[in-house]
Amino acid sequence: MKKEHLTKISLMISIVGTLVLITLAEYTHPPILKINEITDEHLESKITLQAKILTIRNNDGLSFLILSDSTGTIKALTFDELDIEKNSKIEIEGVVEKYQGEFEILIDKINLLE
Amino acid sequence: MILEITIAVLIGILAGIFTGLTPGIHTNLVAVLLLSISPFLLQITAPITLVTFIIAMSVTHTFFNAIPAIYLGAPESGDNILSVLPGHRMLLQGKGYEALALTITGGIFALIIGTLITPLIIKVIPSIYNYIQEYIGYILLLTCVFLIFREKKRFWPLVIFLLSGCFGIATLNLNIKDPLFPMLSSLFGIAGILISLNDKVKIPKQKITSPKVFTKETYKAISSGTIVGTFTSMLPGLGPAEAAIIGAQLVKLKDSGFLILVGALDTLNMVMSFIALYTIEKARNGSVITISKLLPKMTLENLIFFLIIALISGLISSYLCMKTAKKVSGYITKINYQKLSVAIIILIVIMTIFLSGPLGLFVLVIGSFLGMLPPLLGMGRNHLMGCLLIPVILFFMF
Repeated sequence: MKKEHLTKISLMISIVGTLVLITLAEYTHPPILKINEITDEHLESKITLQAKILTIRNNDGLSFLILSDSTGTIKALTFDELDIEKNSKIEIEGVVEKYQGEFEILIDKINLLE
Repeated sequence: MILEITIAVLIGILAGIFTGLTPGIHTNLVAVLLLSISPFLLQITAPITLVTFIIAMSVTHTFFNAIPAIYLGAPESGDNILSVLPGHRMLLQGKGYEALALTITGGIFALIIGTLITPLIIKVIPSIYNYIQEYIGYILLLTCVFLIFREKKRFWPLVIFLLSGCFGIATLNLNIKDPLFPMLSSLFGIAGILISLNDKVKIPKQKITSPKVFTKETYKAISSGTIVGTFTSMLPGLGPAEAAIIGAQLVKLKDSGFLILVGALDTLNMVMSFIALYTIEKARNGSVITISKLLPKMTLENLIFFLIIALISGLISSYLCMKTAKKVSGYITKINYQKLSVAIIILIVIMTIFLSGPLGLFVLVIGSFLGMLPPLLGMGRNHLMGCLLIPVILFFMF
């Protein structure tokens, strides 16, 4: 194929494909929320949160965290003993639950951002 | 214990040869697989043995990945000669072996110098990092602006950088497993192979010539590489390719010097990532993330041990790499280059479906077209790193 044609085709597919990917990401990725945006309508559904670890406590194969962002704090737990330090920035995906009247997140996936 | 460590080094070297020779397969993938089966492995061996395996594999990979980088994906050396990488340019002149010898030289020098300056680096990195950590987003942004503005024509590099950034953000936010695999394999693996296939490249007969090692060019490349490699090890998102472009701005280098610089930065990047884990407790690549999970608290003794393993593996693998390259230089004109390229693409497609599913395959297709644009438009492929740099910059700045 001639280079000019290949360039035009590649550019077109790259732009259209990236737009499709952005749209798909919106639908396939749990919504990224701030802590104060979590409401009852998010209960039992998956969300993504970027936050800082305020405290972390490992106990019998579980990790209990208190996370904070610019809007508030929330409890989170995971069935792994995490080896992440306090003040680390993380991104978590997890299911919103309510325990003793307060929201908490059951972590599915955790990524260390820094 | 010594026997276990020796076996781990040997298996690690073999794994590194496999990941290095196969385009698209990275050590990160093997490290993640190892971590997933580590509960079983740790019943029969110690964490330090698994870490030894990872170090031997990672260092070997930095030597062997130069073979496909030089011998595969060469575009036609026609009108766009400036956009042809120095390694490919030498391959098309029949000097692929010499190009490889230059990158290996860089790698060995980097290993030795990286080890020798470790006591100094351990002291320097934490104080520099403390000072710059608040400004990481801005430093990365300035680096990207520099990489775009150094091009004579800036419109297309900017478009490619921003488009790659959008592609990266979308891919990383897709709910798929191992999004980095289809993203990086397509942009930096399949795209180059497709260009090469479209150009119907004919590789000329290769001459086995060895370059002069102790030259002014080597010293210039190594000193520039050491300074830049040390600094970029503290910054997330910047890889050896970006470091090589920055390093080439510090000193004027010929093709031979640039290849030494590339080889040095690839290996130095790995060595520095061990030091960064010890000094600032930051894991900058998949192998080091796995090491940090296997050895939660890294000590100075651990670091010294890592460097010894890296040196031993590096020396063995550089020797094996030169031997392999000699064979490859002989076979490359005899084998069907087109069939080999297609086989590699099929392998990456299968791996993508296995790891990331159908959505991953979609990412792979889009990334392959996007990855073809820089060579087609006559610019460096480094602008494609926007796929990682833009998400990282956005995180640090907002």
